[in-house]
Amino acid sequence: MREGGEGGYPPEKVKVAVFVCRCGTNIAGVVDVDEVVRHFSSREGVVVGEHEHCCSDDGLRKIKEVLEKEGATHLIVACCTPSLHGELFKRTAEEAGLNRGFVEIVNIREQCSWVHSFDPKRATIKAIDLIEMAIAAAPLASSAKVVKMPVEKSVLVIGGGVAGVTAALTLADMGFKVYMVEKEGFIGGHMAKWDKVFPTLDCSICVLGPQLSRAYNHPNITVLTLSQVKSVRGVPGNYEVEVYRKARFVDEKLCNGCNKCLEVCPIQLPNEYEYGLGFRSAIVKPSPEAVPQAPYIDMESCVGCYSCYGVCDPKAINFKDRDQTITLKVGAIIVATGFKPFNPKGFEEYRYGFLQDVVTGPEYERMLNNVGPTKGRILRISDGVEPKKIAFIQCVGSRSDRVGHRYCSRVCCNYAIKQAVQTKLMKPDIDIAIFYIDVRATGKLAEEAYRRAIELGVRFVKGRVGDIRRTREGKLRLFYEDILEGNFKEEDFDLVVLSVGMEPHEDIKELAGMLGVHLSEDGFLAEYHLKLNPADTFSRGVYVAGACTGPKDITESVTQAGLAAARVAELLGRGEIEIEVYAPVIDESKCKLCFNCVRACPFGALKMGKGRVEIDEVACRGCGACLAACPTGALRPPGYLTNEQISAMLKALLSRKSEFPLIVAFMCRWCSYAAADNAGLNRIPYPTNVRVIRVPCSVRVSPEHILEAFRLGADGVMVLGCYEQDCHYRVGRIKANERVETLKKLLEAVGVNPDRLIIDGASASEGKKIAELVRSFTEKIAKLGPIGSEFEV
Amino acid sequence: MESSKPIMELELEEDKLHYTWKAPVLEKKLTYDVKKCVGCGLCEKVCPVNAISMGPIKDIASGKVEAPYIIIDETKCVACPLCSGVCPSGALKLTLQADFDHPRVKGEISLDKEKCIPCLLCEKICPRDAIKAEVKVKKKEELVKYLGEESWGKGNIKVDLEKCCYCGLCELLCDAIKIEWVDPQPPQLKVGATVSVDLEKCDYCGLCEEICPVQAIKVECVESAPREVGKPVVEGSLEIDEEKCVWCGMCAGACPVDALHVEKPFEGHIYMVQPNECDPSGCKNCINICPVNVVYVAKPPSKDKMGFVEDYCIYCGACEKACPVDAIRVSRRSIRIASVESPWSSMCSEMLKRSLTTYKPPKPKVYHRVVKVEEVEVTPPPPPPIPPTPKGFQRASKALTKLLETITSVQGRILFERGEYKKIASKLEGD
Repeated sequence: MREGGEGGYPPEKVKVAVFVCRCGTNIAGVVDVDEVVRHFSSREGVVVGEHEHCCSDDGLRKIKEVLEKEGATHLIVACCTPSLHGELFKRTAEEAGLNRGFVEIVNIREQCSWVHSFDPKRATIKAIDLIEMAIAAAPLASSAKVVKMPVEKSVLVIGGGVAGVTAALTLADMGFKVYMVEKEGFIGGHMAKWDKVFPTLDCSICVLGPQLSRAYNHPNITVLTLSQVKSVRGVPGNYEVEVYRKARFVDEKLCNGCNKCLEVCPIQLPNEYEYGLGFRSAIVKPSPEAVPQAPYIDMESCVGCYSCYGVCDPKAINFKDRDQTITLKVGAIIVATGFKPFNPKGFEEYRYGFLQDVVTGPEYERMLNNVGPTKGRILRISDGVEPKKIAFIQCVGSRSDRVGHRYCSRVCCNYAIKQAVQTKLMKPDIDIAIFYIDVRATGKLAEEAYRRAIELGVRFVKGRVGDIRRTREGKLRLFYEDILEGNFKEEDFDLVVLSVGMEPHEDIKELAGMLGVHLSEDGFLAEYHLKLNPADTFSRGVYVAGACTGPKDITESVTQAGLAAARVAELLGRGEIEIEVYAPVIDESKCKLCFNCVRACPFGALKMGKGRVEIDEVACRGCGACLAACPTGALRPPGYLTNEQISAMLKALLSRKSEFPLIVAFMCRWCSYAAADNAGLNRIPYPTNVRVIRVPCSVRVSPEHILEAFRLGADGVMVLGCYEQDCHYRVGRIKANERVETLKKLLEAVGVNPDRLIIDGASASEGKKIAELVRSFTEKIAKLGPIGSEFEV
Repeated sequence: MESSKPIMELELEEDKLHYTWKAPVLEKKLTYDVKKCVGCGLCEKVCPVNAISMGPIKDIASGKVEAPYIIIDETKCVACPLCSGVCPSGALKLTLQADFDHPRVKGEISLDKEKCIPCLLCEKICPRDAIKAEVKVKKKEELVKYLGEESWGKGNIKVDLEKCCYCGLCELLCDAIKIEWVDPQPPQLKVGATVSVDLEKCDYCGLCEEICPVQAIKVECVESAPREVGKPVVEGSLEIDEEKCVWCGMCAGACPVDALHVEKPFEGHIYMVQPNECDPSGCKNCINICPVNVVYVAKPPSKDKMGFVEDYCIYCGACEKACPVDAIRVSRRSIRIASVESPWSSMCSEMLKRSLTTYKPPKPKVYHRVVKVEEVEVTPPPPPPIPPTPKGFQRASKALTKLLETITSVQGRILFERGEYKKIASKLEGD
């Protein structure tokens, strides 16, 4: 492999291959690609090429050809965002003998053609500027360092529902050790609560039960119930996870499942498992088929009467049990935490919480279940009488701006149809009406189930229910609009079932932060690519399965779980993994032993040694805080932008002002750069005046670079990172805030308007916010005038 | 088949009821001491299974009936630590295995041994007989040494009955002093009525003046035979029986040297409502039932008919239960719980707080609904009678035997497998 070594190639030997991608009309429709190619074709040391789709088989072949034929030392591809095909181009370059550190991707699609379609001329100028910056930086690139590390052939599955159990069994059967961590006292999740599943009307626990049993007893699976993940440290292939396990007070191995303890407990409490219907005791086992079969004691409700202890023949009850913290070493993590049913208290017109006979879909499902609170009988809750007329109301909590859930929850139409069919088969005389907006019965055999419901006499009424009132006889009067007949009606029912949708769990944010996983706009976890990579996340080593990424039914959850298991096997299967080392190298001749870098590092990867700085390669996460703190440039990062490179980029950009105002934006690759890509995906336009430099974290931005930018003529500088609490390097954004604060004061002291510099943040899905930030900042700078105007007055 | 459900056995022993909860692994015993029970009804308030109901308190308090104040339903009781934890008089006691202890509503009593003289006051005033005072006072004869043959004295002695606390030390010291002991009655709560000095016997040695802790005796010796008077010596100790003590604080209030410190298990307020209904001359229920004897008939200018020495009231609420016209209100505002290091102590303590009149149960975290499910008993119809064997059974049996023989023959079976039933039938007819 041709290596550049320290400092890269000597200038005479440098040859940069630049490829401009047309991307069909995605880029070429706005940016004048021919003009771009023309601009660089007669540059010394540069060879230019272009292709319709550089990422295609043909395109990659062409790139390799040019690299080998021309003996190119560096590759620049001007195309889509590096998050999409960056890895592909780097690997292609490696195949042609280049180190991946000498490959640079210039984003002229998501951050250029897709957002500047209103001004093709300026978009072209921006594309040229960005490529100029890359060309200037190329010769100064440092080679990337990749090492092979052995991995832990074990996996952590967070969540014991149908997705988690499927993934765990698949991996365990492949030979991996699996740790399943479940927050509740029993595994099975929501599926274990249902009576029958659509559209086949299979008994839910009958099909899930054997899986739960197999998982619990599998030699390769360790199930930790009443447990939650508290912290995650480490790198893909070698994670260290801290799990907090609450005391069960019942020994799972000794308990024989006789259930005598449940009968003698004197404490009766509202039953959360049954959504508040009926009672449970302080020793908890929600149903006879629960896995594990040992109950747990809710110690906050126990009074210490020892009655359970007294009747337990195998002496499984242990009051000496205590909470504990368990540390696990795993190679990969699968998140399968599922969803939470929507609480309809946000819709006052349905009177949930006030009228007892208005129940949710899951509550009705529990009523249908033979081991539920009504022992399988359909009853009105207020008086225990069998209802003669039941109404189902669809889209409660979904497709609604009012509660901020715009999405469709995917399963409600199907489960309402199932519940209606089940009810009709049990009691054909009950009159059922389903109030819908659209019937979305998609999926295999779902339309057939819809037809069957109609054949059984279920009425489908298109219209929204505006109000529910209690009549003097205790019935529920629904006031609704019948859209197909075009009038308003009222009708009395005995029981109303609200088909509630799915919501993300409230602790999903904390978990996402711990794992470095993003959230989508709807609040669910974000998968890497919705179509092609639904089980990966933006964090290598962390995968997702099931409803935690968005509403889906059991089939889709199981499918995604299988994919996640396969991806984990891919990562860990060989027993070793290739990871990039981010730790910088020190040029001891330049190091002045000021130890600024040691103080700046949020991970303690740099330590004060005897007469030198010691670097811990494993601890370094590549945030770049040290690079920005070093006054002499003695630290050189492997394979990502060095200080010299950024200087060269600024010089190349600002050597001639291509437009006014000209704004340099440093964007962190995790959040704000992804947000800018998101703006591109959603085609949200913003002014062309920004030139982006992609950095690992906002803390990487050195005050030197900001000052140089202004010195060379930039009118404004933006430092855009994550939100403080979401920073992938924990305190990076906070430190960056401090640096910018200090710098602003200094700018003011020397007479430069400090408003020309801002630091802000956005999360990866907030394309609109980034566009707005750029727009408002550009406007502000335009009003301030070009840099230097403040000195004229 | 072994009985798997735990059983509750009831044993009577003199004035105690022993409820033994028997299960295969453990035996628990709840003992109810009828004599100790004060009729407060706090146990009824905290029982989680509503196994305790009040007996005829009003009739017991008036003396019409002799019965225990509470009735425990042994079919419901699970022998949990709650009633045993709240009982202010220790009438209900739960015992389990050796090292078991549970949170209790408990006051605190502490004795400062340096300050304590000791004297007889606390023993005499305690309404529960919980204090035993062993007091040894050196008799005056040992302390006064007459130097010559004569032994006489002349002077004055005066006992200030307002100051006298009736500690009894002077009486123990000298035979010349006699105290008229009485049962302490509210509101004055004095254990003695008067102190008298036999002037014939008194020689004005002044030892009683020295020994008196409240300086209620003034002795002036005008003249006496030559003598040496020593210093009074008081020795002894107090024994407080925490089983009997209800932490009313009477002893602390009476103690002349502030040697006792008592914290009550409940703090609150006791007051009368609708005083016109109360008939103190006819009814004495509240006075009879009060475990610490702090209820009395009030005199003007008090507007209420009954008075309460609230300093020593333990807010048990027995008087409220005993009043036939419901004229008394007891409010318990704060509670003192002695907790234990056990994982269940938080819920146990929380449930003991149900004895407070200001208790508000915490709001459930889920939307709670109670579903009424009526058990539907489906009785199956009675089975039909078995008919006698029909006459044609023999012929049927013969025909079947013939058919069996046919298809167990090789040829017959071959035909059968081929499905050629006609040929088999003709074979049968042929035979």
